[in-house]
Amino acid sequence: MSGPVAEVRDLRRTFRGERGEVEAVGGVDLQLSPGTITVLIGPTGCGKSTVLRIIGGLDAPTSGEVVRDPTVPIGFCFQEPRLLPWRSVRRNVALPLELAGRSRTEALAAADARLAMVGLSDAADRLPAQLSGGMRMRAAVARALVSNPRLLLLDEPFGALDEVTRFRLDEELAAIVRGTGITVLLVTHSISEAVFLGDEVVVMSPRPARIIERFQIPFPTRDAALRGDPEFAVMQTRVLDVLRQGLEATP
Amino acid sequence: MSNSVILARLHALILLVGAVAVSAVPVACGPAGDAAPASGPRPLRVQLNWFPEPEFGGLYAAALDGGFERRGLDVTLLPGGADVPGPQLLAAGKVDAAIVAGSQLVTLRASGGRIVAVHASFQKAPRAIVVRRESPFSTLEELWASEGAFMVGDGLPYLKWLDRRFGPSPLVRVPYTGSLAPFLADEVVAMQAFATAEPVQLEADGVATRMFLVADTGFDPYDVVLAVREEMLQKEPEVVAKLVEAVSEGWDAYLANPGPVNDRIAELNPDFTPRTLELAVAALPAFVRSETTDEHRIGWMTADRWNTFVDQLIELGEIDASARGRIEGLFVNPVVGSR
Amino acid sequence: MIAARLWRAAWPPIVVVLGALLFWELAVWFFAVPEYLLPSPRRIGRAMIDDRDRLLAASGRTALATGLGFVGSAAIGIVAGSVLSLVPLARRGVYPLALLLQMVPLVAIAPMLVIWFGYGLPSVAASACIVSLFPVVAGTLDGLQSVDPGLQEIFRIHGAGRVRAWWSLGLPWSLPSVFTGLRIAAGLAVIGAIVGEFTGGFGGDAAPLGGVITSALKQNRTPTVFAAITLAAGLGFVLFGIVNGIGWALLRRWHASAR
Repeated sequence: MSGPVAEVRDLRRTFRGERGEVEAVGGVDLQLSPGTITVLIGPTGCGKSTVLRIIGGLDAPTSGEVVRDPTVPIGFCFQEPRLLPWRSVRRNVALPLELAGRSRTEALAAADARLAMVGLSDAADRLPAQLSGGMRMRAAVARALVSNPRLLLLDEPFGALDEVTRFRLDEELAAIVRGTGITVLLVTHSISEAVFLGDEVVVMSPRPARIIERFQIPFPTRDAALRGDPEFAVMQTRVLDVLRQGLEATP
Repeated sequence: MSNSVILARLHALILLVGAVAVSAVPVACGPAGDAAPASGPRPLRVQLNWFPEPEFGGLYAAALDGGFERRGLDVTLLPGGADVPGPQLLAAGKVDAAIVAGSQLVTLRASGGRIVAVHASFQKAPRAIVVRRESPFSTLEELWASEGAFMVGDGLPYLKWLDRRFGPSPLVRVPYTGSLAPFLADEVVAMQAFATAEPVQLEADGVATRMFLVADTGFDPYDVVLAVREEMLQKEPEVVAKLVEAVSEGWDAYLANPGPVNDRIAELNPDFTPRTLELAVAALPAFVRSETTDEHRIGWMTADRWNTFVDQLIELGEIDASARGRIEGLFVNPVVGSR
Repeated sequence: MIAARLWRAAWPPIVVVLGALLFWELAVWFFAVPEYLLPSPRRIGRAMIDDRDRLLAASGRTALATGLGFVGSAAIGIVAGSVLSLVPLARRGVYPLALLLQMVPLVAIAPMLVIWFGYGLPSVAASACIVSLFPVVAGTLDGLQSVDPGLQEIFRIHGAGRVRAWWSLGLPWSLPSVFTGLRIAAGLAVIGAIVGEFTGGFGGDAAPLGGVITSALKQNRTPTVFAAITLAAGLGFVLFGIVNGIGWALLRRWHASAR
């Protein structure tokens, strides 16, 4: 196995706001091993998204080191679907390829393939406003996958959805990603999502974000049946305990 | 409109749309009757039809020398411009008197406006068409048959007259807003002019011009007419007579000694320089004085002149022959103490 | 469906206009307002019929100048608004000047337009263009400045340049506010054309609506003046309708303003 797809060492990020400096990330070390799903979990606003954005190149660290091969294609998915309201779902999914200068035909063919993957083929010609929230997120995932990324950065992608939809999307995401060799970094504040999807769950403290503990999640299969597994519940409880400790440790 | 007519119409209106509409009708007055002032000088608003210039010298002289004041009149002279609708303002009672063109007076009377000419400063119509002196046209007829842009206030009857006289002109008419710039920039080959104004101004600017007087073609109306509402003439004939007397006297004073009035005009209209004013005043007597004015006074009008003009307007189709009755009584030469 | 929709939008103003006309007619009759001060709607209608050839030709000329001026201001306005949005320095430096241009009374510069562009169509269209330019610039700029940052990030992530992002994201995003500007500009273009005609339009047989108004005013033909004004207002209404229709066709599928 080769080295990590991306790695950060002693990552720190300070924002200069109206009320002086705010330290968002206070020294984080992270390695994203090829083909694994790493989950960052922590309380809302702890700075875990900042870590993801820095790894993706959308933000720069105040100090620390980011190691990533800039030629590795990245796919992004944010909490909001961020679809162009005037473009059909198909053309939204094709957008990254169009922007990369690929032909319209090629881009649309690739888009159709990804839409089939996320189960949106029937809605390909609809506009985002004509879709449910869950369908919009599926489209956003399809767009993130359309340029065959080797690294997928997911920033609380299903955070705004209802629990049932969220569970289903988690299961579909697991089915799509696992075994394809895509490396995933997922930021979430949902414990069940973290344990369900992650190979490694990294628990972070409230701001400034630091790593409190790392859990290796041993489940070999990730499907709906896993949710009934007693081990799954135990794992969630362990993560919850650590999260609580983190919250109680800070005033 | 009498009260009984109003009542009859009110009744019909109620039948028509019901009382609701009536109560919504605002009190939109027509020309309001001027209540005679109890005491003190009689305020009069006089609307001019152009910016302050020597054309109105008599009025400014009367204002400056106290000619109005001595007669118990408190006169305000309101400067005009290219688009000030003086005749309408007068007919609507927004002003008490106005300087209008003879044609405007006749057409307004023809459509029912009750305004009357009481004084005509210019015995010869000063309407002119001006070209550059180096232009190839030595007569108005030649110019009229040529092509090019002609800067003129469209819709004035003398244009129809010239078309009839010389045949329809291929000249393209473009608006005249009072700016000489298009003429100076040679965007136009000819422009309308007031004999004592634009040619003088152009000459002072070093532009030599040739001027064709429309009056010389046989179309010679009273073109600078002081008009009042018929109603005022009937109710306050003395006020009108005093106004006219003061203006005539003002003209005599102005032509005899233009200096102070010119200074005042230059103050009000900075476009004028002492030099242009001097040139303008030198051109005035030929238009303002005539045998008639020698016999009576400046501003005197004759029925012959008015009748000829009305005939010409009917011939040109500007007014309908059937309007003759309404036009009747369009002028008066008021005399102080005449009644 | 479109007919029903149109009717639903049209009947309240139609009722109001008919009511106002009836009120006007009755008021003129009741107070015996002389025609040269305020002609009745029927009298205006008769002037429109009597003078139809001249008024129709005049409307055509004014419509052409208005249309050219409006297309010009739409094109220049969208380009200028885009440049101002793409170049922050230009925005800070030029936008206040553009605002200043908005404050300059057209009547003051109209005679200069004649000198610069010549009489007739060029100066009249220029006048229509200048008057209607600012709302388009402002609408375009506002739209481009308010593009969703999340969408901008998507374009940045995928390596889109500024021009590409402008074309594929900024412009479509800004369409609603561009069309708000264009709708205002439509009415202004007619006003600009008429004012331009007062100073730079031809007269006589070649007169546009502005020329008909000046000349009829001098002849005390108030009904003709009002007929020409009505037609000018009609022109503005038609142009507004066209702009609205295009906007609706472009936006109806995805923007709330077109529903």
